[in-house]
Amino acid sequence: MKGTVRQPGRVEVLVSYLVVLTLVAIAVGVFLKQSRFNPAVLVAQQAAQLSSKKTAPATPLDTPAEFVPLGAAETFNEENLFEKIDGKADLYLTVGFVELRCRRLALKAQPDAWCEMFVYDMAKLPQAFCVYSQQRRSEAQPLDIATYAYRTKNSLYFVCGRYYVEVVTAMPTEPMLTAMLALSRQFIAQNGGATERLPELALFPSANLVPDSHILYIAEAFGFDQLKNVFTAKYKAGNAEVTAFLTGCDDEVKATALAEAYRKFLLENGGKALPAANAVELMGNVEIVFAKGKQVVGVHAALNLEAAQAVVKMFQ
Amino acid sequence: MNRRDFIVRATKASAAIAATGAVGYWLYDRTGPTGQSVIQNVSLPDFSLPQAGNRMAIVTGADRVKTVNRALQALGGIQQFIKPGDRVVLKVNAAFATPAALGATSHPELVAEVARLCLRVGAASVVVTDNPINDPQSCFSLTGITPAAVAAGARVAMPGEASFKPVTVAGAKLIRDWPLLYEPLRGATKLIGIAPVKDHNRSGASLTMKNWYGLLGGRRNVFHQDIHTIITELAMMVKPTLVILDGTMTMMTNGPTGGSLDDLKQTNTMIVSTDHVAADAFGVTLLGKSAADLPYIRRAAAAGAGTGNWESLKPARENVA
Repeated sequence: MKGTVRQPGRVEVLVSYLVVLTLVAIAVGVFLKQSRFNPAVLVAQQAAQLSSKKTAPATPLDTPAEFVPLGAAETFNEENLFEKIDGKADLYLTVGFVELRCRRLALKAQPDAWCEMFVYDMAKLPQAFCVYSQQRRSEAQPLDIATYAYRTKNSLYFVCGRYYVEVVTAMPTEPMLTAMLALSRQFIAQNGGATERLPELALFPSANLVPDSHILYIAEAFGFDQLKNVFTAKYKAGNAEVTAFLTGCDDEVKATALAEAYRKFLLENGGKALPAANAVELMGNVEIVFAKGKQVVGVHAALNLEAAQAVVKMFQ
Repeated sequence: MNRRDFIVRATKASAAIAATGAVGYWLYDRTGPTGQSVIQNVSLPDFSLPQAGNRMAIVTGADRVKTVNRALQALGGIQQFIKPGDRVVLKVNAAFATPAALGATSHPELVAEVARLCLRVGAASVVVTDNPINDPQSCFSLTGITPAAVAAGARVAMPGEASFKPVTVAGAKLIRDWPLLYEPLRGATKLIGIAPVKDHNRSGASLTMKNWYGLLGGRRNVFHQDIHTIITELAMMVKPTLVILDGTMTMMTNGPTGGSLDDLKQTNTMIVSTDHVAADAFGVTLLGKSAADLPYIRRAAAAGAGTGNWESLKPARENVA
């Protein structure tokens, strides 16, 4: 038997609306409060969890005969790296950083002259090369202690397997630089890996290549989140310098899809397709991207089309 | 509604209420968030001098002592800003335990000269401070700031656990109940920021407003994800008497740590201003950038912390040999 459905009264309807509106107001209030969560509380909660995190095994860091330690070695992990290098920490943290060990060393013969060695454990050679190449100084001078190494007036920089190493002094006297070199050689002898090479670098044609201009971007190269593990190098093209890039994919289909996705990304961000094959003009510069086998190859931010095409030809 | 409908509906409603209650009970945090401060928040006094107005001096020259003196003279002399009996705090950049020659920190000669000038016009005390987080003792001594400041008659205030008090900036998203390096500032009547011009990996440039970052305690690295907001909020929080931006040697690349002398370029410029937004808007040009490249300059200006249009201050421009 089916009874008659009673229509709700006016008061019931009003009360119902009031209840629903109250619930919506509560939901909005909770949402707003959560969206402005107090960072001080957030950090306090994170800090409570830190003690349970595992730390990486200590990187070897011995003192050679030329030096005496100036204080104890310091170790920093991903949680406290910022304490040592502040705003530069993100450069390392985003590409696989494991641990930093550093130590100040004074010359035995001149105790007021000291240097500091920074050993960044980046877990893998490509990641160590990434931070090495992105910080390479324009005034770099060749250094033959490792495949990837250079020196400046006062410092030495090199990659040793999974480690990126900096040795820095503010007193670059001859005895100090000699001792710093000995320190670096000792580290290399103990850890090995200094002669390892990244095979991708050999894919760049050598004609007109600017020496030691390779850089590795592990994530989000050129602002495009799908471009990962991108190697770049500079080429001379007439009076201009052109940046060429390449990255590997699992197969040709994926390489073609990635090249097309990047081209689409350029066009969606203000780029204008040029008549030349695969070329896009973006903010007055020329971008070219195409797939070649399993590789995505291209030119980034070239000043003119002719220079860009001249470099691209070498890759085709 | 018949009896059967009533029972079904009542059962469903009861089940819904019970489930909601169970979820609430499951989510309830009996202990509450840990680490919340029970100490009353503090606020920074306004150290600016309204009568001094928004002013700026830009002096070129290689000698910091000479250029800072000339810049201050161009603004009417240090006595326009520091009066007899003032308790002055110099907020320096001592963030890294590296020698002054590497340009990552405030130069000790400059810090010492400013301290001397303040004391010369009758300041009751000059305190030099910063919160480098990692091993402050080494940072202050290896940068040369401690010996230089002490020789000039200033006192160096290192941060300790008791040095911090929570602060909240009105309208801020990030600086809420956050530990502030407060003890060195307690009772101070004047505040001068002294910062080098540096490239910065996250913010694009480390100048006078970024220098206030060193007043923050805690795990302040969380703010690096929102660096332009935190610098804007610092600019809103701190109203300095003066800022001194040292562009004698500019760290052009690999900042804020640098390391190689090749990261530095001799730009021979000293900027002194009552307006930290204007000082930074000019200072960033030494890095080959413009104020438009740094979102925090636009935001700080919009928040009323100063002007991004440094030319509107008609800065005094001089050169010392």
